[in-house]
Parts: sequence; C-alpha cells; structure tokens
Amino acid sequence: MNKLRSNKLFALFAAISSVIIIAGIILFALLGFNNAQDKPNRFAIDVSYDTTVVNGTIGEGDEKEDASAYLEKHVEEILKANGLSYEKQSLENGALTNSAIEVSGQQRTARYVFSPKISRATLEEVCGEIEAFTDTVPLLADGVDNISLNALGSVAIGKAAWRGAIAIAVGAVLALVYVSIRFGVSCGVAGLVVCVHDALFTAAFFAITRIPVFSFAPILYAAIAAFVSVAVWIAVCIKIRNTAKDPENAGIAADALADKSVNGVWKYVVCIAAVVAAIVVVFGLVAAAGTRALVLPAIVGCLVPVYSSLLIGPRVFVPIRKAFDKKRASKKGGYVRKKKKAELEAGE
Amino acid sequence: MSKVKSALFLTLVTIVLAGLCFMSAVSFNYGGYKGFRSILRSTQKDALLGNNLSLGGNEAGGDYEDGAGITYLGGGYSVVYYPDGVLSKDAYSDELEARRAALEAASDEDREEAEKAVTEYETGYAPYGSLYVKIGEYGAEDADAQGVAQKDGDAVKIDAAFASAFSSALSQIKSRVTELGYENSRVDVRDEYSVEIFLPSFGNSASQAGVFTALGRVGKFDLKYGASEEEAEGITFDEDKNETIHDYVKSARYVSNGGTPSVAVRFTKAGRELVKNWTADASGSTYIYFYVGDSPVIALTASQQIDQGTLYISGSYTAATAKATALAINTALNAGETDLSFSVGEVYNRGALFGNLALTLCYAAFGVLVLAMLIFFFVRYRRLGFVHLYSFLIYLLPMILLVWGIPFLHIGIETFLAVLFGAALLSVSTIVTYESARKEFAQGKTIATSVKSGYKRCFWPLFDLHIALAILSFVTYFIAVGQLAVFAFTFGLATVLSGLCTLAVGRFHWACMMSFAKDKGKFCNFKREELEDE
Repeated sequence: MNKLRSNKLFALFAAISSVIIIAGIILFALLGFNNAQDKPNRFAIDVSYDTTVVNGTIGEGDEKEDASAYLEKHVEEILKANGLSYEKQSLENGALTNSAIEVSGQQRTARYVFSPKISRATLEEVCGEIEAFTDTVPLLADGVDNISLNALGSVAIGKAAWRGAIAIAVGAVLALVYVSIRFGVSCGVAGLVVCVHDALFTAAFFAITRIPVFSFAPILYAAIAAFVSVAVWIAVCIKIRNTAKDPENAGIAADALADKSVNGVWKYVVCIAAVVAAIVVVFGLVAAAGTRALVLPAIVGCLVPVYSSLLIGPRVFVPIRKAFDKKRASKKGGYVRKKKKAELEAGE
Repeated sequence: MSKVKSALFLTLVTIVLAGLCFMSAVSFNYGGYKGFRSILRSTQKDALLGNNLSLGGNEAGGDYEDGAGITYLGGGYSVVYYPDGVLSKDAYSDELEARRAALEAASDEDREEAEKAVTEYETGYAPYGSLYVKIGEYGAEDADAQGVAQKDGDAVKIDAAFASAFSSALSQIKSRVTELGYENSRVDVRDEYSVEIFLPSFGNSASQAGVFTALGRVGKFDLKYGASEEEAEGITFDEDKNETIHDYVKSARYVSNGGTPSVAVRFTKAGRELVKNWTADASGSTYIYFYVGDSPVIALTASQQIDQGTLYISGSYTAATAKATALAINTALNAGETDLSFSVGEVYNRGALFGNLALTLCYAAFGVLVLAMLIFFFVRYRRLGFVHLYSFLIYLLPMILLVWGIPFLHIGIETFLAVLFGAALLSVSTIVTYESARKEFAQGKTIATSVKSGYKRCFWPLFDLHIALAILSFVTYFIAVGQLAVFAFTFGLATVLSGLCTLAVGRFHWACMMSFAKDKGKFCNFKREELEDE
C-alpha cells in the first residue's frame, strides 16, 4: 500500500486522472455520451389490430389458440425466420380529445423495435410477409387494421444533466464545509478534490469508453460516485484525526500521518465500496434487462472513490496539512515571542 | 431495563412491525367487490417499472402535484402529431377508401365529380416512408396548389420551406417537453416529418390530454380581441417602427396563486396600453384570444377594462395544463417563424417501459440483498442479528411509508438504489458499532460496559458520516431535477433514518433483547481474548 502511495506514483496517478478527465470532457463536448440505451434511432414495425375481431380462438382440438396470441406468435416467427432480433412493446390504442385520453382497449398494437443497422428494404419485405400471412387467415385479414414500418429518431432532451452537475458540486462543497469544520480545513479541501475528481472521472469514463447508457444515467452515476466518495473520505478523515490525537504520534509529520492513517483504514474503505458495489451487481443481475442496463454501469461510481481516496486524496492532503502546520507553528512562535517580550518588559 | 418491560416493549414493537409489513406488502379482496390495496401497490411508480396491475402497478391516479414534482402512475402515453399536408398510411387509406366508396355509390350525375375526387386524392399524395405527403408548393396562395413535396419521377422531394417550418416547429415541441421535465419523456421524429411524443402517465386523463394538446400547438404567437374567433382582430403593427409581437408581450409563465394554477402573461407598456384600449368598453361578451398557430390556446372573457402589466389567467387549469399552456405561449413567442399546424394521429398507451416483470424482479433483487444481509448478521453475531433485523425493519417500513406518502416520490430504479444504499449505510454503521463493542468485550469489560463504550466511541464518527451524506443529499435534491432529485431526496431520508436506527433505535433494542439472555456474550457471539498463562 505504501509503495502505491509514493510521490512518484502519485504524479502518475494524478496524470492518469487528469488525462482521463480532460479526454472525457473533450469527448463529451464533441460526441456527448453514448445514449444507445435510449435507442435514439431505430425502426419499428407496428401491427395494429381490432381485439373485437381478432377474438376467440383459432385452430381446432389441441391446436386451439387465442386469436391475438396466434397473430403475435406468427408475426414473431416471421421475424425470427428472417434472422431479426427485436424488442417487443405492447401498446393499447386510444384517442385524444380536448378533455380526456380515451383508451377503450378495443385496438391494440404490437410494436417490434429493431436496430437501425437493419436495412429498410429488409423490413419492408418482412412487412410484406406479415401482410401476406394475415391475408391467409380470414379472421386476421378482417381484424388487422394496419401494418406500418416507421423510422424513429429521438430528439435529445437535455436539461437535467447540467442542473444535476451543479447540484452535485454545490452539495459536495457544503458537505465538505462540514468536514472542514469537524476534521480540519486540510481534510475538507482534500475531500473536495477527491469528490469532484470522482464525479468527473466517472462521467469521463462513460464519455471515453462509449458504454451505452440511458441519457439521464451518467449524472446519476456521477452522483453515486460523489456519495460513495464522501462516505469513504470521511472514513479516512476519522482515521487521520484518531491517528493525530494518539499521544504516540505527537508531532507527527503530515506525510507520515497520511501514510499511517491510510494503512489503518484502507481495508474499511475497500469494504464500504465493496458492499455498495455488491448491491449494484446483485441488483443488476437479478433485475430485468432494462434495469440491468441502467444499474450495472453504476459500479464504476462505486469503485472510483476507492482509488481516489486511498491513492490521490492523502497525497493532496499532505501539502495542505503541511501549510497549515507551518502557519500554526508560526502563529504559535509569534505568540511565544510576544509572551517573552511581555515578560521582559514586565521584568524591566 | 427489566425483563417485563422489555418483553412488553418488544411485543408491542413486533405487533406494530408485523402490522406494517402486512399493510405494506399484502393486497386482498373482501366482501365481494371490496379490496385492500397494500402500500407498495398504491405507491406511484415511474414509467419504467409501472404499470402492471396484476403485479402491483397503480390502479388509481393521484392529481398532479405542484412545486416539488409530479406523481407518476406508471407507464405512459405516446401521441403522434402530423403536420398539415402529411398523413399516416392508415389515414390516407381510410380517406381513399371513403372516396372510392362514394364513387361506387355515386349517381351518374355525381360520378364525374366523385371520380375526380378519387383521382385528385390518388395523385395528390405520394408515399414517403410510412407517411403520405401532399404534392404541391408549400405556402402557395392557391389552396389547390398547396402541398409539402414535389414529385420528380418516382422520387419525392420535400419542399425546403416545409422542411424548415417543420424543423422550427420541432424545436418548439422539443423545448416544451424539455421544460416540462417529466421523467422518461421523449420526442421521436417518425419518418422525418411526423412527431411522436411520449410522456409518463400522471394526474387525471383530462390533465394529461390538456398537456398533449398544448404540446402540439405550434406556430406564431398572436393576440386578438373580439366577440368571437371569426370577428377577432389582431394587433396592427407599425411597420415603420419594425414592431413585432415582442413589443407587446414579454413572456408567459406558470404561477400558483394560493394553490390555484394560473398562466401569467406579462405585457410591455405598449401591450398593457393596447389591452386597456381594447377592453375600454368590455362588458363580458368580448374575448382576448391568445393564439399559438391558427387556434387560440386561451380565450379570456373581458368583462371590464383590463389595465394590468401582468395578467393572471386561471380557469379549469390543473398545474400541468397551466404549465404546458404557459410553455406553449413562451416557446411560440421565442421560436422562429412557423405557420405549420399539427393534427393528432395515433394515441398509444404503454405499460411498464422495462416490461411487465421489471417491478417484480426489482422486488426479488431487493429480497436477495436483504436475505444476504441477514445471513451475514446472523452468522457473525448470532442472536444479535435480531437486533439488526428490528433496526432494519424500523428503517425500511418508514421508508416505504415516506415514498408512498410524499407526493413527488415514486417507486423507480433510483428509489430502489437509494433505499438499498441507505440499507448498506445502516448495515455498515451497525457493523462498526458491533465490532467496537466486540473489541471492548474482548478486553475483559462486562457486556453492558462494552456496549456503552462501543457506542460512545462510534457515536461522533457515525454522526459525522450521516450528517455529511444528508447535507450532500438534500442540497443535491434542491438543485437537481428528474431522477437525480428523486434519488438524492430518497437517499437523504434513508440517511436520516439510518442515523436514527444505528445510534438510537439499535442500542435500545440491544438492551431490550439482551435482558433475556443468560449468557450475554454468547447472545452476541462475542468472545473474550484468550490470555496466555505464563
């Protein structure tokens, strides 16, 4: 652990962090995040049918099937036969009036969403096949109202991200003002550096790696990083204060204090981050596909604070603490000199 | 604490917790049509996880809540808007079929006209993706020559002026949806020239319909005055002074006057003077019309002379519709010129965006994590695990009640994460106190002294941790919007409850439960340090 916290390696870590954060900011400015989870561009085949017509059962004997299930099953078979993977959405058709949205449930739409990589021509052919299939079954020929292929492109809606970034920054400053009051300014300032680093590093990570995320998610991951960062940094601060208070360590130098504290606390820091990461992983693995895509990337926000609070924070803390020690010593010296002068004057 | 008092207290707490657990999780029917909905079932869910009634989705909607946020009902609605001159394939086919039917039914006298109507319609529109676009010149004076595209052989070329007007209208719509700030809302462009807006389900149907209607009103903003829409006259702009509507109207915004949602329209001096002059003889039979595009979004009855810099207009608005109307006016005032108008096409209702099983699987994941936590506590601390179980339930059940009771909170992924992180904070804090007491006990102190000094050693560090996280959470909530605000507020609540449970409730329960144990060290799975006998 001590080797990892040498000044040489600190320069390396600081450089790595700086490069990642700067590269992340540039890439974010140029390309934004990879919001592929929002499915910004995609094709959709809508199969709309009247449930009062596509009703009852189709087939005989053991092969009897619910008519709407029969329709959707065969549509999906056609898609699979063409080697197409899709996301299915079940929609109920309605109508908008001035006073209400009326959804009677009479009309339903099965929407099949495809990647934009699939050509329009292929999907048009598939639409033709679906139409041909529905025409062969009289019940479906009457009940299927519309089979349409739409190219959908979403328009980015971004407002929450900037407000979120400002919120995290202000929240971190105020939380670390409290840390400064309780643990000293050096802990507060170093904590602020660590917290801002973690939030930026996490966001930069997603901008650089182009991991597909939901558009609102990176700011949530950055916030998680900031929360974990504050929690683990307080653990480090508690250890620093306890170490400094220990009579055995009276007059200990700032770097030795940081080293000793980190040696005593790193297991706790790793444990806290591991617990949070385990929650994210288990929740992500058990939950549904969409939830998984949203939750699992949050693990980055849980792990980055371990790196920064153990390897970067203590090194940032040292010079600030040294400066404060020096100031305190000079103040103390001044006080001693004034006291001596007063004593001398009194003696004269 | 004496054994009797402890037993009495624990029995009471157990009954309350069991009752709350039951109310939180179990729904049932009784007496035929009557039913009891559990707290979790009644809690609002966001568009991603709700709405699936069979699996605990929302059954009834609350009203839109003003200020801090909005109550979501799970799932949502998509509405497709088509600009003038653009039709869906379905609408085109329906109209064509109707004209053909009219042709078949037409008498010999009317046949020629009916044939012309079919031919004009067939040649007047051309397919464009899944849309049908009207062939003609955009903005042409002759109504028959108006259209949005030109035919070049088989190819269809969209008129540049129409494309520009559509782009301007789209930016108005996008700006409105962004400003509304509903979670998971999105705007999709379908086949380049129609717009699909998805909004999460909220409030009542009228409120939702009003918002969708206001979102689709695009075009220039205009102010008119008269006895009816037909007779109403607009502002006569002084061309020498290059006057525009901005010289009369500054902005519109949503305000809530004592809980009554209103649209506040701010006038310039000239605007105030104009309205004053218009309404000089007003007696209740004339109206001030606030137009966006070719239809008014507000028709205000002028029953007396109006001489106000800001006009507060209330009526049958909900907060949502007032906000959407104010946004419609504001974006129309500030957007580039467009005289395009939209008509509503398909309307779709969607259940949970992450699928019908998403919520159940989230509950399952939560259960797995709670089980893992309890196994750890019972293995490591034996019966002391019960103390943590009680602390955890006293943390979790109020959390559920708070998420249910606070209008702008709802069940979503961010809420699950915040509650789970709060539970992790509670567990880690509890472990820290237990380990601190274990160390004291190992050094030879009595269990009572160990617990006391263990808590004393941990109190301030844990207090600092909880306070710092609570500050970060609540400050983040006050500034952020959307999912982050919900996450931050829920985590803030979780932090407060975790602090209370760790530092107060847990210790009290420990004292109560331990009073029944004969071997108190064994109760906690604490062991003395073995000293080597020299």
